Amino acid sequence: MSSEQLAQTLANGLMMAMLYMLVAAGLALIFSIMHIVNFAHGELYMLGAFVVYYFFGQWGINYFLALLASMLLIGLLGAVLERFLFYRLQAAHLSQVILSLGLMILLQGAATVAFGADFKSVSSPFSGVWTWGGVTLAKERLLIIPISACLVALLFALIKWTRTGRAMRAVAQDPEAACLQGISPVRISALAFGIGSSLAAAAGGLVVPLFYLTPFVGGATIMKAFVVIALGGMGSVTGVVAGSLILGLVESLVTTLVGTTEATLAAFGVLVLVLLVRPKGLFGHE
Amino acid sequence: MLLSVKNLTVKYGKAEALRSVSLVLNEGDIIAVVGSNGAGKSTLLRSISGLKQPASGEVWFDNRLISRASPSLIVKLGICHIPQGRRLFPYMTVEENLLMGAYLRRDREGIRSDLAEVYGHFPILQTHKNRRAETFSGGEQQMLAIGRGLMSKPRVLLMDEPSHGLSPLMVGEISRVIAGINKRGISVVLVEQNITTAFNLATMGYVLSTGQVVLEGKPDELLNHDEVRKAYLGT
Repeated sequence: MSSEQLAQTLANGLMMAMLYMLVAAGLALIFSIMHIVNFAHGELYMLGAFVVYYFFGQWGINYFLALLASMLLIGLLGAVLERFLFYRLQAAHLSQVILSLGLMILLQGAATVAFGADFKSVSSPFSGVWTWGGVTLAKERLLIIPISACLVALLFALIKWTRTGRAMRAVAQDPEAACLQGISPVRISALAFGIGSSLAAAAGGLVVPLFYLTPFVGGATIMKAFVVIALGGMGSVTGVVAGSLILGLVESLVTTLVGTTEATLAAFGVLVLVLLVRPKGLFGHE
Repeated sequence: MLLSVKNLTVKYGKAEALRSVSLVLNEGDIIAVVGSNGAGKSTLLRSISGLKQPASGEVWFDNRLISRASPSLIVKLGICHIPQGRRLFPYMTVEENLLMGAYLRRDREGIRSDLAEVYGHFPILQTHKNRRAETFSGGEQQMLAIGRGLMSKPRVLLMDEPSHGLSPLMVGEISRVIAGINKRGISVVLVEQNITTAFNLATMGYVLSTGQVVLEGKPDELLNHDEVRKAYLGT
């Protein structure tokens, strides 16, 4: 492999890693606070992509505004789903899992009826390439990296340093003790679900110029997010970052060196290996 | 009177955990509620702080009916519940735990000066303010739990077995802390199994048994009561 090829492969891997990070961070946030495994998270990613497809691709609204609108709308949808569906089943985890599976099928069906099942695409808002020391990288791909990194950094800063972030951690660690400090777990849960959903929407909106869009793109995405979380360890922020980077780079390297099918195989192979050695994931506790 | 509980009945399913319990806390007092395991002591505090809705009866605080209020409003009004087993946030630092106590307050200056005051009372918390709460011993955790409670600027502290699981030396230390808090004008409802510790601090005592108040009165009178001596002091 030439050094140009290597740089290209690494950039691609990093881009995929950042997208996985956005989806997995939201999924992990929702899991750690409400202990809900939301199988419909991939569908929120899909719907986020459709919002950008229509706002930007069809109606010509500025790409960044479309992305922001997508995050707000899907974030709101997530908060509503939590408040009016998941929260009512809060004592019954199995029912919540089944609810999320039902929502997954429902949202795929609704999107098929509303948007059609054909392959859709959007031309990228950024054309051209960056050339640096003989390495050529497409702007549309490269720009995903800083945007996702900023969003993930914002999430981490929120959780670590703000009053709301502390309240989220408090609810995750002991909901009743959080109640006794005056925190309303209902509100915090809806907020966390909304933030998690809007990150999924951002990921969907960021890839829509790169890949074909159908109502069924969520399935593959959520599988990858689960791999990331299992790799990194449930409930660990560092774990999500490390898991995404490992998955993105392994997939990208194996794709370039061997092929796409082998890349998927390698991703799950790494997962099995890590879990054999460290059943809690790389950074899991408890 | 600052806090009064009137004919409070609390049920878990069909089982009555409390049956028509009444008690009164006057401003500046410490009242002690004692009783064996399962007598309903924790349930009493949980229904005052709004964690558990009563089946019937009323809780009044500062001339306001609070028996249907949310836990959040009750904290805001000035009642702070320090639950059994401390219930700190284990993966948060000492300082983060303390700040959680001030969650509903918006006066940054006041929060900062109260934080300094809590550190003044418990220097060990300041020394280790960036350590996670889970790494502390039982006594230190109890100090942190009390500190977190004080950060809400309460008028009433509900304390559920603060001496539980502590060494006799630490129990004495915690008693001095409670007396000190009370001197600064905070009224206390102290729930204990350790009857002598509780009655030494209190101005009024209540004995709870299977969900009912079976005896009430001045602590020294209660300590001389035959039934109390038999049941709790083994004499």
